[in-house]
Amino acid sequence: MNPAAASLDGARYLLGSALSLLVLAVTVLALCDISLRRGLLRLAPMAACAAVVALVPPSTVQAHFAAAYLTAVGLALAAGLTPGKYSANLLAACGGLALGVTAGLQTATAAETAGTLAAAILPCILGLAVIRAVTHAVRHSAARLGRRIASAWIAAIGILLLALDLVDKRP
Amino acid sequence: MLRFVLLMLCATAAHAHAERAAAGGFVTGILHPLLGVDHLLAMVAVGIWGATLGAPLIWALPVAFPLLMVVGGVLGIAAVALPHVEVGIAMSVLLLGLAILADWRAPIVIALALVALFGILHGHAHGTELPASASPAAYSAGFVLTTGLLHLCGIALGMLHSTRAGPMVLRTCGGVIALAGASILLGLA
Repeated sequence: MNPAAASLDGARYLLGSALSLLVLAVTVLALCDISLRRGLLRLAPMAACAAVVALVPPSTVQAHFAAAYLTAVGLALAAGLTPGKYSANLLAACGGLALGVTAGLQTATAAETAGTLAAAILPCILGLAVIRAVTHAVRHSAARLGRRIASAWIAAIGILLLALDLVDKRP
Repeated sequence: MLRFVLLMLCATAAHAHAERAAAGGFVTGILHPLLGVDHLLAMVAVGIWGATLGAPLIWALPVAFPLLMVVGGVLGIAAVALPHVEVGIAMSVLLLGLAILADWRAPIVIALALVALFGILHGHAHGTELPASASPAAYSAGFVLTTGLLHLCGIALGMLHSTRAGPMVLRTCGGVIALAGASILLGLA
């Protein structure tokens, strides 16, 4: 397969993966409270960590990482917490790892990985810019309310996925 | 089966069937709250009631509902039987409608406890259906998207409370929701 088609395949897979999109959504929601420039800068460690996953062999623990990430970040945002300077870096890195796992980068080729990362970064940039614009346009409290509700639902999905796995593991 | 589905979520681009199944699950999840009038009315009512009660319940109710709904969902998936779930769901529509109709300024703890109980009942109903769906994550994402939007619609409606004719409009909405709840309840009898 030529590199362009492989990149397109990687991008298409990411955009068709609900779990990957949720990881991106919760990461954007977490980063949208810091300045736009800082938020955009956090996308670099996220992309780097996602690329690192491509080099790591798959394991059972990694499969649960994304659900745990959705749960932890979603609950924190629903509780009204916002990341500080350093925790935003850590959060972006964890988001990258979760993205790499959910987007199946362990088994992707280099071209597919590049396509996936491009498809992940562009919506994040767009999302951060749109949320900032919306926050300026509507009342700040309304924007915070929307973010809390969205985060609670994302956390709920994370809990549900973890619970599904636990239920499935019962003897 | 569930382990297989979860593994499919982490699979590579080669699995076209998984993509199709996930897409089907997503659409089913999106449509589920819209097609079930009991779920639809309960979600909108939670938003309206939270908005009329003001802070902190304006955000606490729509945040608490999904988190407790997940608890109910897990109970349903684990085949833990809860008595009279369908009746409880119909009662949730009726009671939320009556709360809006009566403009009941419920104490925070009682409002949260009621919404938590309703969330568990709605979640239990979904949980019993979830394992059969194509992809739990896609189904949940679709369901979340619609339900979150329904909550926001309810909150937007509830914001009318501060306008001149708003309280009357909201009481009318509450009455309609309560009537629908009573009708669903009678249908189950």
